[in-house]
Amino acid sequence: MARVYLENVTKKFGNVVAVEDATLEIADKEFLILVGPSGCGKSTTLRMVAGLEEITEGNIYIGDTLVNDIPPKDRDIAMVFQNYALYPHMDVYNNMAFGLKLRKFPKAEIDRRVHEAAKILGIESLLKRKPKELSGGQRQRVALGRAIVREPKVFLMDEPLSNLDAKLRVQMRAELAKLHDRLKTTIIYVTHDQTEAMTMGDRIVVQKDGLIQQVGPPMEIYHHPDNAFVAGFIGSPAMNFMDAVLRRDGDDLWVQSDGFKVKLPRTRFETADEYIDKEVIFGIRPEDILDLDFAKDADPDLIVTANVDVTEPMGAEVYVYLSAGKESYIARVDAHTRARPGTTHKVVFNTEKAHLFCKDTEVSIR
Amino acid sequence: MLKSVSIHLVLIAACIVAVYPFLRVVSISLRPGSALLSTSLALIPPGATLENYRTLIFDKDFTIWLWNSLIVSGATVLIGLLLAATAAYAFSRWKFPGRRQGLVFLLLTQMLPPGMLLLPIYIMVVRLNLFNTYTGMIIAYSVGSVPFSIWLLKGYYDTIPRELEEAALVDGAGPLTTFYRIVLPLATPALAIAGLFNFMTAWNEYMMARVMLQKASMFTWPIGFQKLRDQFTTQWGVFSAASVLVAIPAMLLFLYSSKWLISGLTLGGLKE
Ligand SMILES: Nc1ncnc2c1ncn2[C@@H]1O[C@H](COP(=O)(O)OP(=O)(O)OP(=O)(O)O)[C@@H](O)[C@H]1O
Ligand SMILES: [Mg+2]
Repeated sequence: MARVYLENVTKKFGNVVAVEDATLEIADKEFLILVGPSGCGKSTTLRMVAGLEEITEGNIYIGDTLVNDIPPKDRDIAMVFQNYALYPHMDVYNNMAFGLKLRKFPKAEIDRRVHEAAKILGIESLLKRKPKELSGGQRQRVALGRAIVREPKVFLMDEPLSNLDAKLRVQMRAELAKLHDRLKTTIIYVTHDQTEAMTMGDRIVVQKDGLIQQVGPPMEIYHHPDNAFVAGFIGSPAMNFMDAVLRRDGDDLWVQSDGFKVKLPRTRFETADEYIDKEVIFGIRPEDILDLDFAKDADPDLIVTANVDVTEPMGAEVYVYLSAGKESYIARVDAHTRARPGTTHKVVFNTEKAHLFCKDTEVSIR
Repeated sequence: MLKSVSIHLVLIAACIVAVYPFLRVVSISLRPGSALLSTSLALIPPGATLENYRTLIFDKDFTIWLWNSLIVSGATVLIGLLLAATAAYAFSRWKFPGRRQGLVFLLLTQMLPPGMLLLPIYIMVVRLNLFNTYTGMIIAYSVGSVPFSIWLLKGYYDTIPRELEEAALVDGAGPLTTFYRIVLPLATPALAIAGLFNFMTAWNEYMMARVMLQKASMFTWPIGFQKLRDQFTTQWGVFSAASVLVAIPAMLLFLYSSKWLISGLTLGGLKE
């Protein structure tokens, strides 16, 4: 049983608080994703679970064991380091076999596991090379292989796919998912990549400045962010944020900004009353701004006319950079849109999926 | 092309400058006794003979001196590396009270001119009954070699990324295993340099040996050589033969250790 439990964990480096009062329960066999901007404490969190960094305050449990004072080697974890940390004096085979040799596995078993992992990772032909004779992506796969062969209770992976090309990354993502199914290990996985965060994990943890912002399944984080930071961090292109004022008109709720005024669904924002006539942050994802040409029977109260500044064709869709008044925002629309730079275009704000945030605390208004 | 030619010319000139004196010594060592003071410049002298070598090895205590030197220098190297490799690791990796002061102190010991230490060490050695012993010599030499090696090795350890050790810790190695499976193998170039340097220092040392060794059976070769000169008249042929022979272990050591002096050993472990 390898649930991992962080209980009020704080890590300070002198005056720098890298992780602040983190409480987090990672269930056995769970695939947990840790995301956040650079320097927010993701690696530090992993390193504390690994036992490489002393905990300033709090407790960490692996299984039911309090591991605060247990050295890394006795925690039965494997880690993929952000910067690989391959043993430069050993060839790829021995890099992967090192941990198993230390644990006195029989030679045949070591051989089997190394070859199996090498096959999954597509590095079978590199087994006799030294790390310095490998490309960045190959090194990263060796680092991954070194963790995989161990079949530990808990995997800690610090951006393990960051250096791979797009195609390989997709492939490795699938391999890791398969691996997780097969080995049934708990995985804590740090990434910067939106797609990895959304597709791989059971739950996502969003961190900022050492503080956990929100924990939840990917779709919940995506559709119900607790605050503006989480809303802006998850999703690509990022959610549009606009300064706006909340208005009431009879029973209807409106959001008014410099360049537009649209109606909000009352039911979605039940606690919004206290913000009436106050400034709020209006958030809407690019895919929730629709091209009127493709939304013929749209509610007229949701239609906004905007200037088209730039269009970015992505293939299947186009990112349209719009502006109206002081606000500018991105819409993600069908490739056949007629929006052209320099013209005006009518779009529909699908406010069913819009978000409001308090201007001061940036907390979601629901 | 021109560049390669000029580089070669310079290298050839440097070789001649370096090797010529040695060849002269070889040539003198081969001269028969009658031609000792000959001014001939022939590398292989007329009537070349190994007589001087025979005299040296069978009629003098040369093999004993060589043996003594080997024991003392070898032990100095081993003890020096053992102590320095571990101490330097502590200095490089751990924060402990007195770390900075310790490092500075070690540096200070290196600043005292060796001559100044002669008397105190002599007195200590006599008091400790280590006069005329290997132990005494080894301790005296290690006093100089260990601090130097600690500094050298600490500097090198500092360049070995910590993540490599952390990876080993996570992989299941204890601190000791990490040290000898990861850190030491990566530090071989520095270990080789420290070993080589300490060996050469001990091997060629004269002043300390002169003070500490009185018994002929304990002489190291530099002292032995002096005796070679002092007896009746100097036998330059024998002397030259001895010079040639003592150069051999040093040369072998250089050749052997050059295989460890590889640069870039820690490359490839980390990103970038
Ligand atoms: N050994 C250290 N000494 C002092 N400060 C540190 C140390 N390690 C990390 N920090 C600080 O702690 C904070 C968190 O660092 P951490 O490496 O965990 O960030 P991260 O989320 O992994 O960032 P990235 O995405 O860039 O890898 C940063 O502000 C960093 O400067
Ligand atoms: Mg990091």
